[in-house]
Amino acid sequence: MAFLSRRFCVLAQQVRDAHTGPTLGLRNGTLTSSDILQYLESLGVLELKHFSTAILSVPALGESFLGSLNRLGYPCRLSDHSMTLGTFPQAVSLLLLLLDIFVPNSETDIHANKNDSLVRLNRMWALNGYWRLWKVVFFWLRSSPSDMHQCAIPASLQFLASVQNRCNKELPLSAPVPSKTEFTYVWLQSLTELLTLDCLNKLPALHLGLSQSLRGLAECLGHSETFVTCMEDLLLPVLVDVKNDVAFDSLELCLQVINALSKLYTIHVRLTD
Amino acid sequence: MASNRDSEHWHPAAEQKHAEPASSFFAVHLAPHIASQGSQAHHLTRETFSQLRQELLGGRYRQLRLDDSVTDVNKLVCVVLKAGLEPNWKEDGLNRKDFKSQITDCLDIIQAAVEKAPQCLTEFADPEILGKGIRAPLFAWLVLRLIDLFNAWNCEDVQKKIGDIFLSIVYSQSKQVRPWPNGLSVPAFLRACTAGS
Repeated sequence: MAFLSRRFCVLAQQVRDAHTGPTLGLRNGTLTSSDILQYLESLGVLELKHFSTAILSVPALGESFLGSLNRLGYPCRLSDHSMTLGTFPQAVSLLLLLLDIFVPNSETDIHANKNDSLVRLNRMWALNGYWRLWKVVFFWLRSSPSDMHQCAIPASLQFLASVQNRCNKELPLSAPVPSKTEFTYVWLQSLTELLTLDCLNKLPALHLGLSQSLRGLAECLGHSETFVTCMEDLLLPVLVDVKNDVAFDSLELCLQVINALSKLYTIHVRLTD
Repeated sequence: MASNRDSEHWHPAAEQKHAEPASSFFAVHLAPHIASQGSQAHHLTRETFSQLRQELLGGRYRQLRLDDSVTDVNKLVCVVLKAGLEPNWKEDGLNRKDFKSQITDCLDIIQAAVEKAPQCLTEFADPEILGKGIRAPLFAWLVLRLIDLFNAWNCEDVQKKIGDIFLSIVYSQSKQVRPWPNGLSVPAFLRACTAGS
């Protein structure tokens, strides 16, 4: 009980601090993070979903952050001050930028051979990062009460915008099939997860972003077998589950978008069933 | 401040006429600034960085490669990091608009330096300039400082420039004919910072 009481006091203080605008860092000795993404993942453990305005910061590198740099041969004391990540949406924005760097596109193709194994390794690493980041964003979105969505929605919209951006750059028709498949699965799985959000019909901006992302994905992949397979594996089961849900009316736009752009693979779902 | 100035005072013919080795360029234009090390580096003014940017991007040195001046370029970037990007705009009496202008000038200088002499990234950053007793390659300092800067300046144009520098840093390695020393890998470092290696 005493432990819980102390724990509550710490959390209560953090909540108070968060609303007065201080830096919120991970200085609890029981939590460690070795990189920025892991730091954001760790915040979920603390159930900090209500921290919509807190400025996040990772502690001084000499502690636990970037411990892996030591393994790479770099001095851990590269920085002796904490690193500010900004608010949650800003931290997500930073991570998206860093992940995007490792996905070759029309601008970086002049420097990197798409068939190079290192490039492929980077791409897979980035995909894994996108997926982990989406899990964090979706957790915040799903867990936040409706009046606190101002924190999670911008981050979700940024992620959706990144999906569209990646679709345009990474998934042209000339891209190798394995690359298309990998990305399509990750993106579509993320978008599909969003479809299951209970309050989606109450979040028009998110709904619009989802529709645009689905449309972007469909446009990039055209009538490819990859897209059909992914749709059958990922999207259709979810649509079947949610079609009688109250939120389903709001999904009509998504379905119309897909139907319009992909006649060969029209999803025949009767809204009136 | 930093936009649409790249072509000012520059003409291809003039560049050929006045072409000079990179070492001369540094001796005349940058050495005085590089000599301002440590705390003195803070006294460099916003106009200094604006002028430096103009020299590198819009002047006759716009297309000049600096591969033979790697150490000097390394020092230049260190000076820009220390004196241009780290000062507190409130304490230094700059208003936010002016300081943002300095930030974008400095980011342009770094971008140009990386493009013109990518090898400077693997040299150890000058600990005297940066004021740290830690020996680490310049790109490591750059990555960490730019990550810090990204959210300190939550505005699109600054963030876009930072993203461009990240791209240049990461892909500079693949542009090099010679392998980088000691197995240094910028992508590995950036991956470690971002989401583990």
